[in-house]
Amino acid sequence: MEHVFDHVTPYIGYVYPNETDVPWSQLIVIYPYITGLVAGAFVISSLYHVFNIKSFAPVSRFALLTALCFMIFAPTPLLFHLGQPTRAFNAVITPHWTSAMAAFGYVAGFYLCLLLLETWFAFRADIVAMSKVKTGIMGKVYGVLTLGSDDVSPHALAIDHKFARILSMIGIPSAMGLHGYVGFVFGSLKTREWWSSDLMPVIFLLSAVASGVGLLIVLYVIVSKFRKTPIIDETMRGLLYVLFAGITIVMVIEALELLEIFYKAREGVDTVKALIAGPIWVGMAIQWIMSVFVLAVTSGLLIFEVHGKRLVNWLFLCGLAIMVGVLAMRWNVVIGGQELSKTMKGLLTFYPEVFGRESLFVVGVISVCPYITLWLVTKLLPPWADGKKAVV
Amino acid sequence: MLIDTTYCIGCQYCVQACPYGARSFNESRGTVDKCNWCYHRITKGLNPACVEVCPTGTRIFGDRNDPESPVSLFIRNNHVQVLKPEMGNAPNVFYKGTDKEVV
Repeated sequence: MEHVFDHVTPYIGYVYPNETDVPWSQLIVIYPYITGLVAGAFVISSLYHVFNIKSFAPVSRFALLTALCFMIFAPTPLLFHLGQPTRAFNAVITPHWTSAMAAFGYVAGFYLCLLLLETWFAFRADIVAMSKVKTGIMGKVYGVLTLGSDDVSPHALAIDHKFARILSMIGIPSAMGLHGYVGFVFGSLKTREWWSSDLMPVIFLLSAVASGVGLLIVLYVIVSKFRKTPIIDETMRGLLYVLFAGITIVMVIEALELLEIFYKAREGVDTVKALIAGPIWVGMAIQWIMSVFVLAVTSGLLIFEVHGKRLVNWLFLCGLAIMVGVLAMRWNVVIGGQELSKTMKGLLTFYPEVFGRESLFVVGVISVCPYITLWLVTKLLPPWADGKKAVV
Repeated sequence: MLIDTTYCIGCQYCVQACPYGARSFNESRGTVDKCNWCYHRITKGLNPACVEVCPTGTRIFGDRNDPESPVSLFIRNNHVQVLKPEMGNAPNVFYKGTDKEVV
């Protein structure tokens, strides 16, 4: 019984007794973060596949694999967090229509299937080619991956292209739906002042796109350095446009959200102010400093028409900054919301566990997994066109 | 409200959603807990333990569907409030003379 008191969260003012055990820990911080990276990477892939914006052609298939690999790990923080993880699928099989939890299974499951299908269509020609070249186990693996469809005639490839495009089109509302849903889970909790906002799905969605583009910039630069391939200027410019658009809109909406809370000044607004100045001030500082940095640098890159190596270096920094900034934003929302007591008359200060089931260590391991998976998947399905025109 | 501990997945979404702070997580069971009005007692026609032992008789428990039950009479004959009515949850716990500070 004593262990209950091990993680009593320190508080000031008046809080409900059960609030001293913060229900959603740092695992729930990285859950919207990872799904956000998926949404952002998918948007870049779609900009080529659906809207045919040629500057994204070199990274479109890589972006698709990035989205897939991160999506595979999106549910893992939830499984680590559940008190009864073995019952996770019960929520999907026997849903409670009054709980938003079951919807995650449907939205995420649908989206994961869609990503797998789109990846297969986008890479089918390569898989068929590999199955004919490779021998031994890998030859068999590629043989299985063709799913028995080894027709690479121009007609068949045109069908692949069409299907990949249709799936990508369905993928846009699905990615938006997946991340909008995450925002809905928080926004619909009327008990928490910090969460209960109609803007929540929009904020989550836009910051997701921004962070995903940031991830793609960082990965594209690093992978190009390792592969010793040139970083295409047009692609970097394209990513710059999307990042600029993303950060501008997300900053305005987030500022409006804060302004609304302060301007409405409902009962307990002083506690909200104390929350920002107290438990989450570091997170808020990181989020806004990074956002301003990205906005300033991307604006500068656009105004001064920067190209080449300088563009790569500055945009790489922006990519890192937005990833850190959005992670801080997720912390501020998820943890911040629980540090503000439901009584609106008290504040808690959450200290994360370092080791254990819901610890920073687990968060670190889960965060690294998508990158390792992506590395392995790019070995299996090389997404780079390398001089020749992208196939799909 | 009863929690089926063989069915609960322990996501704690309900803990977040409860405006009264009535729910908590049971670490050893991996599921959520809340007061169940001593279900094992009331199904045998007894009062919940807290009602039974309250030295000042502050608590009244009963069937609200029965208009003549003590709790129905009390609600009808007194000026009662609920906690956080603005949440729209229509709770079945009523208080008489509640101080604004605890609402």
